[in-house]
Amino acid sequence: MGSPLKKIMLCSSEKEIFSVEEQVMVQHSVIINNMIEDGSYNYEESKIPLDCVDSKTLKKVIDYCTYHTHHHNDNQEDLEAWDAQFLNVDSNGLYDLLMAANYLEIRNLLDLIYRTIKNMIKGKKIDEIRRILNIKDHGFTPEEEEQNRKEYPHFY
Amino acid sequence: MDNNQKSINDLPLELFQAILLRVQAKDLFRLKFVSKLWFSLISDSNFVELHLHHSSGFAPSLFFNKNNEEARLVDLHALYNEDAEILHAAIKDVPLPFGNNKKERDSYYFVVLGSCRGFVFLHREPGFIIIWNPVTGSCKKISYGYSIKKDAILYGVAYDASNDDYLIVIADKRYRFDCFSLRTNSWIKIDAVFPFPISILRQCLFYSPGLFFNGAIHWMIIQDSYYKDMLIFDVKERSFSMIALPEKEHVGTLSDLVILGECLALYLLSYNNGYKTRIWVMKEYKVRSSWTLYEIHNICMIPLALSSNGSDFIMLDTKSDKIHKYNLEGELLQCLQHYSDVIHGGFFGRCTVYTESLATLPKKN
Repeated sequence: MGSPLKKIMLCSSEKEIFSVEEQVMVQHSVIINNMIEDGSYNYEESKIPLDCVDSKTLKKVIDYCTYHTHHHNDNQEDLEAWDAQFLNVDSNGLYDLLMAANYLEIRNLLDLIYRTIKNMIKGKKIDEIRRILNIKDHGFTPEEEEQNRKEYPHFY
Repeated sequence: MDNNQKSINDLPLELFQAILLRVQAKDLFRLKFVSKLWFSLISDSNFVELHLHHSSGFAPSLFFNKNNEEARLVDLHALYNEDAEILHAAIKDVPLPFGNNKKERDSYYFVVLGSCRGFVFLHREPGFIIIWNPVTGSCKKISYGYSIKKDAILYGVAYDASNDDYLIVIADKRYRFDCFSLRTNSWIKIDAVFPFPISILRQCLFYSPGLFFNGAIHWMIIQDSYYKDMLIFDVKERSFSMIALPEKEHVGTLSDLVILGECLALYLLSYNNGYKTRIWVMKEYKVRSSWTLYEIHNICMIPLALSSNGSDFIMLDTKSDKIHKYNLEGELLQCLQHYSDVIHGGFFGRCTVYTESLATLPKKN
């Protein structure tokens, strides 16, 4: 567990540097926790390169971790409301966050995004899901698609 | 702008799969048709297996044979959802397979034998047994000339993971123990040694089918009007064993085994206990000291499942057919007024609580 005052540096794909309380990232990210614990992070010189996370996404990830570190005692309803507001982004933003959360192994954020995407498609018709998730090429041949629509008209 | 739009199909497969694993089986079947990629992933047998184990935390569903033509599927957790759309989809009626012949339909009656891995076993006597997954439609008809109601003293259904096989186990009044293997499509005699004199079986209640849980079928054994022991048939080992209740329980008006959360449980509705429903939950499988007692101060309540957060019982009022929620301390929390006729017309032999799955039947060897 890192000390609350120590800061670590994270570097986005645009080489922008973000300075974050160590404790915030250690508590949430498995890989950063491991880096700090095994001593591979040097406080004087290191910055953690996150080549596949852009600045916009990294800022969101840090926001999430910071909020959940400082508000973990809040009641469940307030936290859920904050989470819902936090994930009120377009599908691109959601996929970027998902990739970043996966890369940094932030389990509660990953789980939150999984649940959010799941709820986005819950009970929806197929045409609607394709639109929401931006699936342009469904890969079925016109014959297969027609057959499926004929067999399960209520799905579409 | 549009060209920069990412699609969910661009995500790494493991992330995409993680999302789908969280979706209930009944929704996944529909999602297969979103794209070819989704179709192949959701149809993949490894995914189906992963989903089955992931779905342990998923909603239990109630299967109800409504009128021998249709089955009613009730998503027990969705009944308490505040989202109107989810609530609306909680109850669904589907036609029974092989139920189209009007003449047959009128003269016979389906008895629900039990369920495992998303498959429901229906017996139409005399004649045949149907094994059916209401989600995928995967279905098979097995000839069976006897009457389980009249001839069997013990029966149950099971899945044998070691052989990817579904089994129907029946002990008849001549103390023959037979087992139907779906994979080989044949009856096999079971030579396993009973842990007690076999004549005790005669006293088993006919309406209490065995319960499949943790790779074994479980039955409560009645001796001198009391439950003392549970009989366990291990499907893989093909062997019997027993586990004792913490105290002997008088056989009440109604009693049965049920799965509550991740645990096997026994409920008893008995006037001898001062008008209570007693629920014994075996917190740790086959650990006798782990049996824990809960009491509901209402005589006609059958526990169907635990709520999604695991802190309440979802119970059926056998008098009014209403579904209620009680906390573990036995206090009534919520009564679903709108769903008073969910399973109108009787419970035993017509219902089973199961977890939906995408499983399909094994191909014959």
